[in-house]
Amino acid sequence: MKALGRAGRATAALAVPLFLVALWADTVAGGTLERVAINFFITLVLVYGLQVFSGNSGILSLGHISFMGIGAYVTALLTIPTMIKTLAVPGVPHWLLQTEWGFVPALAAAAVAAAIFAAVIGLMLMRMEENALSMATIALLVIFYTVVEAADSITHGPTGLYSIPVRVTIWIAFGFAIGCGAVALLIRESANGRKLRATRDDPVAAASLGVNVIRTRLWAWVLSAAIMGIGGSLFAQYNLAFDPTSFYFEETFLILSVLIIGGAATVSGATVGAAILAAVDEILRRMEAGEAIGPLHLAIGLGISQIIVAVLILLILWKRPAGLLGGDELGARLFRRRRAPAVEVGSTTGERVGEPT
Amino acid sequence: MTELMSAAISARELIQQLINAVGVGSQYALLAIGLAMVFSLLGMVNFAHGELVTVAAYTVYLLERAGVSFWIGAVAALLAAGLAAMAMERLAFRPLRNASFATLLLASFAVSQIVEGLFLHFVSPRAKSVSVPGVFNHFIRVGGYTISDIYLFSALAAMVALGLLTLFLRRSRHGVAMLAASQDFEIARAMGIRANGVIAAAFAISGVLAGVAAILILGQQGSVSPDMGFDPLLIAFISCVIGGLGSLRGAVFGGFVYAFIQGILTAFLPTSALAYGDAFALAIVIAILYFAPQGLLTRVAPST
Repeated sequence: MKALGRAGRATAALAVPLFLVALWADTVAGGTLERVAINFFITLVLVYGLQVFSGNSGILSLGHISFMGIGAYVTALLTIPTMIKTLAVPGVPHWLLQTEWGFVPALAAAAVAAAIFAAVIGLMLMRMEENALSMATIALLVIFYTVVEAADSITHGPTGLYSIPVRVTIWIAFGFAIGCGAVALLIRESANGRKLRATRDDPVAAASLGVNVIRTRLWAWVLSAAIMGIGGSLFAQYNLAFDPTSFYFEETFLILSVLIIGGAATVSGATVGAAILAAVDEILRRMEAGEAIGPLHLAIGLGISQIIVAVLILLILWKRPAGLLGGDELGARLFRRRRAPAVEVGSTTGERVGEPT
Repeated sequence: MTELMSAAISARELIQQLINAVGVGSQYALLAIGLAMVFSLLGMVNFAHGELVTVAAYTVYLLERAGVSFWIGAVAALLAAGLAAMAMERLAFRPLRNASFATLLLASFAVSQIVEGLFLHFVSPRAKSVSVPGVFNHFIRVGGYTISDIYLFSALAAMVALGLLTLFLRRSRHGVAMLAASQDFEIARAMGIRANGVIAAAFAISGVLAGVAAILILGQQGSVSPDMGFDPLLIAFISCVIGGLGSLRGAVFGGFVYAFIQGILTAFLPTSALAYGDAFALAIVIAILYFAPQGLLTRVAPST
């Protein structure tokens, strides 16, 4: 129950600012800024998904975007109108061509598909030693990319899929961001989540205390893949179209930077990271397009924005290696005065990301 | 009868692919050994390694535009890539000494974004063509097999470069220090080897070798683009994993094995499945990570 309370408080600490963002985007901002806000919420879902595995296990995964990709492709194949599917993906079975599912079933299917895919490869990957696993996830990402690009008759190859019905609104995106954030917090505070965090801080000690390291990691791997699948489904049902490059290294490092900037150990850290990067990205995009930002009018050339973001990431890695928020959830800080600090496994060492083993 | 004929054809095709693989593998080895060197010292997969190829290639392009000949440009390119590698280490990676695997990977990705952004901004986002000496387009025929000069040239360049490197590592004081540090950095430091010097030298060498590979790549594709470093990076990474990350000999071995795997897949896979070639190769990489995480060369897994 204590765990549930902690997760609840942290969710509340997240919900208020995110609600304000959604409200602002819906009523005041509109237009481009609403777009920015929706993309921010979808990014949040993806970052929470990655946090569930990498944040709690301390193992870097570069393959998670392939789960997002599975979610997006499954959603697209289930929702695109039959007429367009017949043209774009003649290779899929007849029943799939006839399928035109709604938002919720498609989203559920995306989550399930991503989870099943993750479970199958996880059986092998989770047995690997930490760094070997990280490197295998790089291979996973490239394999996914190569296959979707090559399987032309099912995925429409490098051109990608289009005409996905747009069903995600600002409130739907907000709802899923909060929902997935709450799930990530629950996972973090659950018994298995604590076991997983114990394996992050000291796998040998955790195993000697009876934690089944492989099974605990697999559990988080599959859950986090399901969240990534949901994120991919939202992405597809908001952006209308995508191609294989949407799910490759660029997106991978975007999500990873968000996690590291805010602090991978906590869900609130992931949130702060996403907010900062979304804001910086939008400001730079406007500067690149030559628009004024408030009273300022600074135009920058092509390529400069990616340099600025990269330098920002380097600065944070140098100055704040545990991320801007460090090891504590925001809620824990807000409510700390009222209760004695709870002693919990795994938070005693000031939680660093992916300690070398 | 037809079956026999097609078998004969594929045997020829296979031998041709294997001949090519020697040339391709030489390039892969040059790319891989730099990545392995840095990994052996810092435990870092340098995602910016491919950008060294980009730097070298753009040096040739920019000098050629200024009227300098390809070959002088090539020499300058080796220098530029070596310096770029040292600059990366000094500016970006030194403050992160002893950081985690994840932090180092992300930092090196950030560096690669910076380098790519610089070429995007200051040169052009589009690919630019480079006029390449005729030597790169010739080939010779031996007993019905084609050997292109670029592959001969690659094999030669790799032999010279790796020969010089071996000589340096075995005969010079700095080389021996580096070899010792690559096997056990902590012990080497305890024996009085200066970390900064060894690491800077390793980056410089990885840059120069990537530069050699860049000239060969440039000779083949005849153009430069800001994102041209990505494929070489992936190649170096795969080769290193096959040979065991951090082992120099393993990196060379892995480069050739990867090239042979690709050659064999090209010879035997039906055309429709060729697009999946990389996926097969990477599935093999995952299998190696699973069954032999120390690479195919190492028999006994040393504890890390």
